[in-house]
Amino acid sequence: MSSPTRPPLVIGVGRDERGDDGVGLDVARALAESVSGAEVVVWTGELTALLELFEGRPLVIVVDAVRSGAPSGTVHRWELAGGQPFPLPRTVSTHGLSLASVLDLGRSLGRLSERLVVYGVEVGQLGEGSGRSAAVQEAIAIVLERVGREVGAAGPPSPRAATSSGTADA
Amino acid sequence: MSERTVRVNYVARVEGEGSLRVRLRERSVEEVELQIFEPPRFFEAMLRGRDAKEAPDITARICGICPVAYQMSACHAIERAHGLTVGGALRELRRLLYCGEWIESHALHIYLLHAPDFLGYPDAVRMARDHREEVETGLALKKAGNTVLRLLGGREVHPVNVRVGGFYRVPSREELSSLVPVLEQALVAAERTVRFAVGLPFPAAEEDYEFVALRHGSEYPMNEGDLVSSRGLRMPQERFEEAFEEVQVPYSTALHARRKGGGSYLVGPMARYALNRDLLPAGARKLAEGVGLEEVVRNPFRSIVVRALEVYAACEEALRLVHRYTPPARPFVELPEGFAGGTGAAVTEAPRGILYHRYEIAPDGLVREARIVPPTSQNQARIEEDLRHLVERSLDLPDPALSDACERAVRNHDPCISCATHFLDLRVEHV
Repeated sequence: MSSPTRPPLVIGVGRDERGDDGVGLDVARALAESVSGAEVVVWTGELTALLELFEGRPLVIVVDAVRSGAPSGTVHRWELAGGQPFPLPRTVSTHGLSLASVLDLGRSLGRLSERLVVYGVEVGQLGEGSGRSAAVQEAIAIVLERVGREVGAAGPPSPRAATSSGTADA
Repeated sequence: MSERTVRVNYVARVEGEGSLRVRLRERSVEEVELQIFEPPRFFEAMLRGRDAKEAPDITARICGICPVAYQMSACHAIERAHGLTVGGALRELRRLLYCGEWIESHALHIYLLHAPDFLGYPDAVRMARDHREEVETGLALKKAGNTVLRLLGGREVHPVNVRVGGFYRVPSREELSSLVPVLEQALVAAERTVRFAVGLPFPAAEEDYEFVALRHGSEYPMNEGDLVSSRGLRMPQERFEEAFEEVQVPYSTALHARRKGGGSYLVGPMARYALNRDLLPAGARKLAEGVGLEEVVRNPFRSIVVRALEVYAACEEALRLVHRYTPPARPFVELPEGFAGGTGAAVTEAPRGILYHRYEIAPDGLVREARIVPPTSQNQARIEEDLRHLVERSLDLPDPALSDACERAVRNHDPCISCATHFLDLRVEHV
């Protein structure tokens, strides 16, 4: 059961040093400055720990970089509700779980928020220290606007939400 | 004449970031190439010209799973360059922080990455359907480790409270005591983990490793100790480069580390355990004996048992450190004044093996040159030998089964290869 006082949570994940892979972090940092009514987390670490943040949330929005072959800067949106499998392929690595795997694991264990939305921004450049590409920088503004709208639609901010914005990794 | 090539893109998130290619000709293994993207090279360049005191925070970003290891090796190396030794409660807090990292990192690998291999599941998600309790145990242990990191490091991801000379802030006795129930529960879960791991079905394998680890006079190694090996090496850790060298291989951006004049070697839990079994905390030693764990583990698949034992040892040691804690007078020790420039090197035990840092620092405190040798590049050549032997034993397997077997063999050593990026590798279209 989620607590009615818990605000929506927005999580940006990625790596700053790997070019467009840091797009989720940029979105989260900008949201932390601009959005009210949501808590914001910038997450550069291992992803299973995110499940601890999901519990009891009516809405969690995750922003990450993706690669599907679409033009870089393309914005994807998925929504998981009702316990169906997450519509992303599970991936396996030797040293950490992918976001899709973590979300699927959370679903299996009943640890997800009531509503879960994932925004994915299609990456272009990923070289070390290469910064964000122009296409991805344009996409950041689009994601900011859409996430801000979703947070607003989730309901008026509770007193707690209005003061709880912050980052785990600024 | 027949030729088979088996490819394992086992880091599916990032094609080419980590992959394995095995080429067979007739019934002999012609090539085994483990390809790894290695972020430290970028960070070594980035560090040049930066204040050396920034190195712990900058290098912590190399890995989202073992940032403490990078912080600790950086702090010790820079302190050594200044002739500073940090002791007392600050030394013990560092050891406690390292315990937290070992617990969270090992728990992740044991339950969410490695255990599915032995239980016949493709991943932890599928395993959780039938073994929910085990997966929940893994997550609970991981959370306990993260709780230690958060309390001492300020946050669990890339801790911000570590600095050269100690910490920015140290906890009160009461704050640290809040870890006691967390660690007591974790200790129980860790014992369950050892018993779970030792009961898994393991493939037969025996490798002739040269184990390399730190060895300290009186404690299981984390932050301090001499470099020792199972073939007689013993030397002060700061002389690492006299005994080990890195060589470039054409198929990987990661350098291969080798013993000078020798060959490959293995670092990590199996090496630490083989060279330091007598220094395990008493409870862990008793547990190892109780479950019949051999004194030296040479079957790489059984590394999961050693990793589990190290989780237990870390919980036990963390509790000991918490109970005896008295806050230090100051949260850090200042570097001595009058620094004329110099070089400092240090090795600490990251969860997956020894991590070497060396910094050449100018009199103004700026880094002239940095060198970082992570455990994964040290194990890379040795993992390839494991794979070569595995393939030679498994030539009759069809390609998919051989590919799976290779992937599991790589996973035995928990290589740190996919923490470079987090993006999803999508194969379905969504607009």
